[in-house]
Amino acid sequence: MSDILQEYKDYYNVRAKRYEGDPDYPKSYEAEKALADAMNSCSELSEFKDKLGNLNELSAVARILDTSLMEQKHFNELKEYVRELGPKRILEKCQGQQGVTEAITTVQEESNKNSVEISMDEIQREFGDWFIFESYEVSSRAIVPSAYQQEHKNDAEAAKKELLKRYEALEADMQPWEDGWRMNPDINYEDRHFRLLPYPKESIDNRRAQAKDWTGR
Amino acid sequence: MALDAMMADGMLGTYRNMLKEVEEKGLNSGEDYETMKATLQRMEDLAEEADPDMMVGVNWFNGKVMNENLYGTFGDAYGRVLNSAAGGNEARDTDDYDDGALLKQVLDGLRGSIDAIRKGKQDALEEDKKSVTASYQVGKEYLNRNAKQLGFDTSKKYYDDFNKEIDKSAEEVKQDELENPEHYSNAKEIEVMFMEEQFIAPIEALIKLGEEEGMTLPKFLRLQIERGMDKAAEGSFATREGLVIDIKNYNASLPNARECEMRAEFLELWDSMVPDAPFGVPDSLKFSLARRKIEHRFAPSIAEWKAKWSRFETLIDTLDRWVRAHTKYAMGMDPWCPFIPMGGPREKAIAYSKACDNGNFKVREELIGEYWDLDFKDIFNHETFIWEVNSHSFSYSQVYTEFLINEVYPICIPLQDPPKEIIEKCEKFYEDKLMSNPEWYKMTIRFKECYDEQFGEGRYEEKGMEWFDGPHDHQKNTPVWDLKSFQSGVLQQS
Repeated sequence: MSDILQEYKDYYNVRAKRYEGDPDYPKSYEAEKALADAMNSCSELSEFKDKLGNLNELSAVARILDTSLMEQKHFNELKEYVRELGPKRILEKCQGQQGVTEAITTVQEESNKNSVEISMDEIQREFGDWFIFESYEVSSRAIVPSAYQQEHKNDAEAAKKELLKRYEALEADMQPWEDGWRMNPDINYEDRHFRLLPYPKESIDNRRAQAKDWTGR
Repeated sequence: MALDAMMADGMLGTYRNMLKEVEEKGLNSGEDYETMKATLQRMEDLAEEADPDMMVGVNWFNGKVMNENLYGTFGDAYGRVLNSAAGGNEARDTDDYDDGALLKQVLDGLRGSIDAIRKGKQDALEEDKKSVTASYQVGKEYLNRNAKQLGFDTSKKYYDDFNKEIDKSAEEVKQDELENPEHYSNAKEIEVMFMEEQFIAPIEALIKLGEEEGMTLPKFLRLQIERGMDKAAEGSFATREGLVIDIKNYNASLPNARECEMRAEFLELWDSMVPDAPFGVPDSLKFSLARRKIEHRFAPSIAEWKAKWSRFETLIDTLDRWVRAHTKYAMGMDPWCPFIPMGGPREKAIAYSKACDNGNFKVREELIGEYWDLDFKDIFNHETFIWEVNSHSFSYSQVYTEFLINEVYPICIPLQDPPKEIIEKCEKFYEDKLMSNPEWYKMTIRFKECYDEQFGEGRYEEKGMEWFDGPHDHQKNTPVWDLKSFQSGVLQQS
């Protein structure tokens, strides 16, 4: 006949062992160990009901804290400071939470909020659209016959207006998500964007100046 | 004002069904149920309030829903309703402990998940059997409800003509569907991509473990952890499978060297994590974060590759377009024909290219000089160009490219026309059909082989997808690319 109590002790010990010595899951280990200790302290299975309390919920919350810390450290290391905001807030809000349902709600809310922040951040890459600036360069600098010079001047002006229109459209699109949101071309100098601009700084500075001149942002 | 019914149904249908589900299960009472109801009603109210313009309305709706966390609140309440029904977080009264009943409950849950997997595939197959032409009718109804918002003038003849075109296309597709049903069927793809048996096998293994003589619930739970069976049942095998398929797809399309290298590193990463992983299954979050680090490392070089090739391709196309515009065949040539309407518009576009593309070319060449200290000829030693030629993606033939570099480029001067002999040479290339790369068809073979490997020999052709086992007849005399001779011969001369 099986010894159910011993089998439960073995089970909870294995659960804790999963995280033993894993530097990425310290809280999960502590929480699982607490569960295992509670079970190991029972001399009859019926004692576990009272000793369990909310230890299982705390274990789930611990897991959320460990994974959020892993993500937060990861994004911080990569200087992805906008992506870091989600796990950072989850960590702050879930510390001390006692119930898994509350913690899951926090994770959902903050993940949704962060995905909006990431979208608002990344649509500004390349100052909205590097190719609009190049259209302007071609139209304003190309040596063309006099019959086409006015058309090229018009195209150059149209490129400027197109950038402004693009900025205004993006701002309008973002209002339902964040009231008062405005394009901020300066963020292109932040590492997460700057490293993805395969152009010399002089060219990047030139685009920034043009964006300011054409859009006022 | 309201979102179009098709949009609202698409976005809210799942939540309506979830509410109906709990009601049908008799779980329609309590605070969590009321939260579900109220949250869905709020979503319905927002859909009513939204601008009927598809772009504006949907964006506004999604913004509101996200800001109020309505999807999250609804899902959360739904989970709590189901959890309460299952007797979720309350500790079992161990005085009434019935190990057999509890173990059976767990195994029944696993059997239920197998049923859900099988049902999911059957539902997908049933959905796939529906006629494609039904979607034309849905699209036409959407168009007619929202014509004004989409910029159509319903009083004009062109609107009637457009509706007739839809009907005509629907009829053609209907006919084709009858004659070639496999063109529209995705049954074989669904069978493969669902990986039904691979997902079910580890679950069945768990059930078999649970049914062993003398098994108890705690022993079952312990053994599945110790043997990694819980991870297997989560479908961890699919991660590696997905990485392998991704590599094959990228090796078929060959967009650029960096993306192919990156995907190979993803697989190496997974395989390197297996030996040290508890029970041989890498932690999914640790793998995901390590994979992101690889992506992060590659991102700048991928951005650089794409930025460079985009400019190089535009430069080559601009030079080509400028000289073509001067030929007697321009009106029937790409890029003007068939995309620009015949007559005035096409003539105007060609006249513009003749007069201005030399000036435009020079500015674009200056830009790659400003960005990367390169000029036009540097393109042809660059790894992006070599990649395009080796992957048979480069659209021009070697002989025509040599013509562009050696003879057209030197005389591409703003405000000057090319000499008559250059124009005549270009015309001869066109007449002899020597402009295009004769080996481009090899791309179609790569796609076909990749597709057939995944979905079965002959499947690519069965689906009606076009591929070629050799160049078009008119290209059979065009010499194939020989990069060595090109770079050691032509480029040295130019």
